[in-house]
Amino acid sequence: MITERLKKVILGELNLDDYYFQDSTTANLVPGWDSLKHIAILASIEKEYGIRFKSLEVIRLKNLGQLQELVARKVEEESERKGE
Amino acid sequence: MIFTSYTYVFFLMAAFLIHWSLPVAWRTPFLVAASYLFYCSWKWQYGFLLLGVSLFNWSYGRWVVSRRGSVFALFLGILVNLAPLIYFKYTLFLVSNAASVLNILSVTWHPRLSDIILPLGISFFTFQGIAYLVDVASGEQAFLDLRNFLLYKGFWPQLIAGPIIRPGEIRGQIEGERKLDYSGFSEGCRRILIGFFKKIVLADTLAPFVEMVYLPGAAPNAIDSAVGTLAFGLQIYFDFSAYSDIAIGTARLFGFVFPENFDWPYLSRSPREFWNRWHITLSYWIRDYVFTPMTFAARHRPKTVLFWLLLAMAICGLWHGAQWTFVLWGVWHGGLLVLNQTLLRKIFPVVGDSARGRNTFRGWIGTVVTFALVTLGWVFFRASSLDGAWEVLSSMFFLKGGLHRAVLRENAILVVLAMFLGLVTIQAGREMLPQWNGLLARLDPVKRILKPVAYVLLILAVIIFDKSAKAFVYFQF
Repeated sequence: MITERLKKVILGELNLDDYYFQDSTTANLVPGWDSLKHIAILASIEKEYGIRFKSLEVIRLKNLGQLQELVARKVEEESERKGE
Repeated sequence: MIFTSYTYVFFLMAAFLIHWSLPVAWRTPFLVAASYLFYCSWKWQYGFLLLGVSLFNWSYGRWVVSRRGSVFALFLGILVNLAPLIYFKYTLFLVSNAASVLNILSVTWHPRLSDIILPLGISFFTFQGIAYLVDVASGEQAFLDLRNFLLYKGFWPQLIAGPIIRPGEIRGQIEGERKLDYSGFSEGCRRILIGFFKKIVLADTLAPFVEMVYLPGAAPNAIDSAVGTLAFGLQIYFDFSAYSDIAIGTARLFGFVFPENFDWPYLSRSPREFWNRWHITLSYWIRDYVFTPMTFAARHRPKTVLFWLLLAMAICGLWHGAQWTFVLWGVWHGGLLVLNQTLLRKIFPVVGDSARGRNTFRGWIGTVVTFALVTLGWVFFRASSLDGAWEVLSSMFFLKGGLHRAVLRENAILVVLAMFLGLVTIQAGREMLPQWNGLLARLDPVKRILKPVAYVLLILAVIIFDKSAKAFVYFQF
């Protein structure tokens, strides 16, 4: 399930008003989401959530569901780190 | 052993019969043995190189990369994979260029260089090995069983010229039980037949015309250069997609489904789309293992992204061959991708926008412009030197000889144009297909009769045109 917050970041980068995202949605299906935009989207997500991806984490992403999972995991890791 | 040879047909038939008559547990080892026989039939000594690289990647992936998760270990593994490629493919290029630079700096150095025979398929199995280690480092499960890994790395249909397959795409098929049903068998045979037709009847017919124009010292006129370059664009498409058809078809006969490598690339409406449809597995490899890591590392400096795009495409060009012409071809495509994002953005429809843009005026303009730019780029790919590329390009742009031809005969020009028009017609028909569904459904009984007739004609054409087995263009890479 893609959260509204993540969806908003992605739509903002792609200059889209709306798009029906599902877990199985892949980048090549979304208008304007090419390999250049992909990096810009990842950077925006990092900024929005205050997290930092590693390149090996990013390489494996196959669809939006996996991106959502990664974001959730990084947010959790980040909050644990700050709590310590 | 070339795919389009009787030797290969016999090899394939024997392997097919033996494979499916063996107990399930023996099938994987049999395919590994058959693959090494296939590879060693060319130069047996290099079978040890393939085996050595495979053993390294299997053990390193299983015991080092998957456990330590360190970037340094991965980097080291990538270097070990690259070392044979650099030695066999780039030594002469690097040394001769270093000598040229030193000579410019007034340091005299004349290295004695002898030719190094390039192991078949080394560029492909090197990239596959790197993909394997990176994927394992990023969480993909390593192959535990050596037999399965040797098949992943060495399975002959994909060994020499791809498709470049990633572990996640094929693991289930290697480790699970493979089955052959009627549709798999017929699809496999159909793809192989189409591959034979494209290679022997189409690509090999065009090859001599291209050779005449691109032969050093040929001095072509504008019309020769234009037709010769158009012919090469068609030849390399038919040739390489034929190889992929035969590879995919062969794999189907053994119960494997390989990823597609071509998707009607000359229908692309933008350079960006072209790389989603041409040599797809290499394009995705470059995107995921070269471009994405580079741009990701520099993601907070977004202005540099177009530079990384150019660099990634230059690497893509260099991968094809150790010559500046290939680098230029890569840079040309990098430039087109940059223009696609900037100055020419308005011409080309947006990627991923499948509903809008297709079958519209803008879409067709995009297709024509993309085809023209891609075809122009083939000059760098085909020319044997920078001087040769310049000769062809300058004759085209300065309209050398007006409408008079100097190299190609009229019938050669007609054959090239006929093939081009044939491809355009098939492509346009394919685009219109959804609108004709009703009509096609009514023609089903006719199709049922025509299909076997068409296959028989294809087989006859292959037999008639088969003069001598010519190597595939991509075998040299």
